[in-house]
Amino acid sequence: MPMIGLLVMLLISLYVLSNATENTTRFNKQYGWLILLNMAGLMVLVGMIGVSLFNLVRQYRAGIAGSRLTVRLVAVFVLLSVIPVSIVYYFSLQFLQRGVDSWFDVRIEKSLEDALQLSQVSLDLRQRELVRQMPSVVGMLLDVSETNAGLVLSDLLESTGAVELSLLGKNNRIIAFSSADPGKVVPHRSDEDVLMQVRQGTHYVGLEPIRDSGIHVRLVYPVPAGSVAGTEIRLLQALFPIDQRLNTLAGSVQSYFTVYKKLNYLREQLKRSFLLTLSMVLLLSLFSAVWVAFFSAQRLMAPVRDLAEGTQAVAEGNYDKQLPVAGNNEMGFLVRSFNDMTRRIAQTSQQARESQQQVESQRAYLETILGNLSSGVMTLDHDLNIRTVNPVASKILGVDLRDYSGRPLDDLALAYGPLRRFISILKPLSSRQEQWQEEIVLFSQSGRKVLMCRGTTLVDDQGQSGDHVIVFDDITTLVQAQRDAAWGEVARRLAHEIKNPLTPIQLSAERLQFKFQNKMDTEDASMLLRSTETIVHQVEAMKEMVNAFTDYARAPAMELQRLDFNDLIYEVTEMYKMPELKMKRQLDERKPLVQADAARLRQLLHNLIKNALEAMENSQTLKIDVSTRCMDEAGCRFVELSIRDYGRGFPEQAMGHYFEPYITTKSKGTGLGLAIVKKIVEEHGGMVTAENLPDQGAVITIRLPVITTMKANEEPDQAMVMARKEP
Amino acid sequence: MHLLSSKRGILETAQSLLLICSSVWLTPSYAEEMYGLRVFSASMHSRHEMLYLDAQLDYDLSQAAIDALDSGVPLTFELEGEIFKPRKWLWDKSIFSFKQHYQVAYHALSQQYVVTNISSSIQNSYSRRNSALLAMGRVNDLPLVEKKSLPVEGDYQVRLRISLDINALPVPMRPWAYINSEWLLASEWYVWDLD
Repeated sequence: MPMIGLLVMLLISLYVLSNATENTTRFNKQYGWLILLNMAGLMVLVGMIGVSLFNLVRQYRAGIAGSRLTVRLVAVFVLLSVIPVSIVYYFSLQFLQRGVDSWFDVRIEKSLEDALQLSQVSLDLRQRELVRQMPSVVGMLLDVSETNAGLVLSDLLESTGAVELSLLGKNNRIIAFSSADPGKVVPHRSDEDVLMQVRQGTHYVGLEPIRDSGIHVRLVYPVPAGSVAGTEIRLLQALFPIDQRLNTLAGSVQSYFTVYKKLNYLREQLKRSFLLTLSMVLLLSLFSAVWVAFFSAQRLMAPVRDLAEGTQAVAEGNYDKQLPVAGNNEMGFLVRSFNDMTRRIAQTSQQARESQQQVESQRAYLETILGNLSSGVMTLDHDLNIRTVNPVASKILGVDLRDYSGRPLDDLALAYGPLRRFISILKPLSSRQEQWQEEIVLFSQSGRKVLMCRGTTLVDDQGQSGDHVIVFDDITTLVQAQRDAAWGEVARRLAHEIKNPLTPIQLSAERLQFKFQNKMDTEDASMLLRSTETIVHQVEAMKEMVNAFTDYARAPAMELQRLDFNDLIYEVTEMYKMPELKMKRQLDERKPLVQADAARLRQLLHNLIKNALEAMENSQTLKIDVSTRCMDEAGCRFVELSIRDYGRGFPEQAMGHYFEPYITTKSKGTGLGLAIVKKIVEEHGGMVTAENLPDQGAVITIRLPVITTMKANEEPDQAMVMARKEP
Repeated sequence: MHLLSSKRGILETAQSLLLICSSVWLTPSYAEEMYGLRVFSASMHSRHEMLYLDAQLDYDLSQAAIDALDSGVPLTFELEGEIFKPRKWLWDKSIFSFKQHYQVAYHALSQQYVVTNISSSIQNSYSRRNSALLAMGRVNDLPLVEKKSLPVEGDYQVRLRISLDINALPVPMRPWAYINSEWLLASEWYVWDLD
């Protein structure tokens, strides 16, 4: 607004200025002020343009959005205004020069000069005429006394037709004065030079403009000193009017000549003055245009800048950005559209956030469910990379599977040896399309584990084969319990059904022997003796067998304690020291500690040694190698006990069933020895294997988990972790 | 020739500034020529309880001014005077001030230089320019003020100066006259004590 005010004010002052140039008297006096005012206005404009330019340059350098476009717009606006204004200015200038010059013409000048001369010539005639009559007039003034002079002059005024007559004495003192105008008391003074010239003896005639009454003829004539003594040379001063018509015409010629001459003199100044006004108009228009260019470009660019900033804000994720609406034009429409867009984006992103939260909560819910499942759950993608696992899966497998999320299953197999078998079984199963179920035995630090695995391939919406989900349960305890229950039942029946009749059988056989031995002849008696002894022996054997079953079935509570495995082995093997038996002990110096029931381990050792001895029944040399070894395989610490005999070895046909009850190749024994061994090993979370050696004999290997120096009742997982840290 | 006065209007200050600026590039070719206005002498005398001014003014016109005069441009001069009480810390206290305007013009038909006292409408013609300027420079018995209207006590001073009235020039000449030293014709203040 103040800018518009300034522009209007400048325009008005320019208008006034141009009027003043054309000599309109109204603004004549204020001309200087007007110029100053306009210059000040122009300075203000220049200052404002300078500020705008400075700001623009700064914005441009800072790379503020929209500044480049503003610069371009300003440049275009300025060009659009400067070029036409400059053209108009140029032609105006030309026109002005020629226009002003066209006012002046040599012919006009000459004619005016001629007119002036003509006037002078015609007035000259009148002057000459007057000069001619002067001697007679002067004659009448000769010897006139000062007192009479006034009267004479009055008479002469009438007779000569002069408007003013005065007689001057010495030092130009006025002796007498007479005027046609009765109000006039002082004569029109003549030029001192003229008076001096006349005193030299000549006369003076000339024209003199008299204020308000036109041109007059002035005559100064010397009045010679008369015959009266003491009189000096006097001067007669006379003013004669000229013909009214001639006066008017001559006056008019004079004034026009003066005006023309003045204008001619002022021609250059006039041009410069017009040039000044025109230049001011030009500069005002130009600066206004430039300023308007800045102003409008910035106004035009403001919404664009806002839009750019808004877009940047949206790009940075600030969707709440709303721009000020810029008018009711296309730009305003654009801004409104932008605002609508950001609002919608904000809504959409809000919805997306909400649905993401929903998904998150569902996922958390699913994870909670999975975490609380007693089964281990693991999903694999189609490249057999682990996708998700639940905590129970990690617990069952004894590995923190979360670290392997997103990594191939093989990585896990590489890092954890005990899982190698598990994974090698799992991999072909996972590629199956249909549902599968498999029992997998796993041996880890926490012992032998039987896992019931079930798996299926997930089918997504497109019906394509997607990920695999594997659910597995630790059924070790269940299997153990089932087996124990089954064998317990067998043992109970045996004890009940078989053991009871054995004693009467034995007693009856003994009674038979006792009663009929003496009554029979020697031959019969010896046969009876042999038979009854056979019965008694067999019954004894059967009793032994039944007792063994009873032992097997009976599962008293384990009394776990920390044991030095080596000490125990030493103690048991000492009992079998015989001259014919070569017992070779090779026990690990690291003294593995196991958490075990001492009585059962002793039974285990006895069974193993007995088994070895029995295997070598018919051999020439009796030789047993007992060795323990602390193993540290894939971070799982356990002790390995090997008992090697040099006997027949296991029969090939029983391969895989050595540890099941009643699998025996020996002539004697209950067939439960190795079954009990297996039972005890499993009770201690260990593993037992048996194999024939290529050269001679067989070896039974037992692996039992070792405890470290920590407390016995620690979690196996933690024990494992601690064990791993040991060197 | 021109004095920066504290009591001059803004316009004249601006003129002076413009003059300073322009003097750099508008140095006239006949700069050596002496020209300028001067108050040669001035005095006051009283008669019949009235104060009269007598002064001798010196009009040495620049060539530009003479050319303009001979081309029919009337030149107007302003005689301004002031009776004031000088003060040390404040602006001088003005008691009475006056202005007189004289105009000299060339009359082509009669080939006379006509001097007019605009204030009193008295007009005289002179055949020579110098006579006209000389006559214009003689200020005799110019009645100013009644003695009784002035305060009796105190020391007073009078100052007088003569200057060319640029605002009376034809408009086209003014912009250039404002910034041209040849046209900025003004005497310095002539100051004397009032008895």
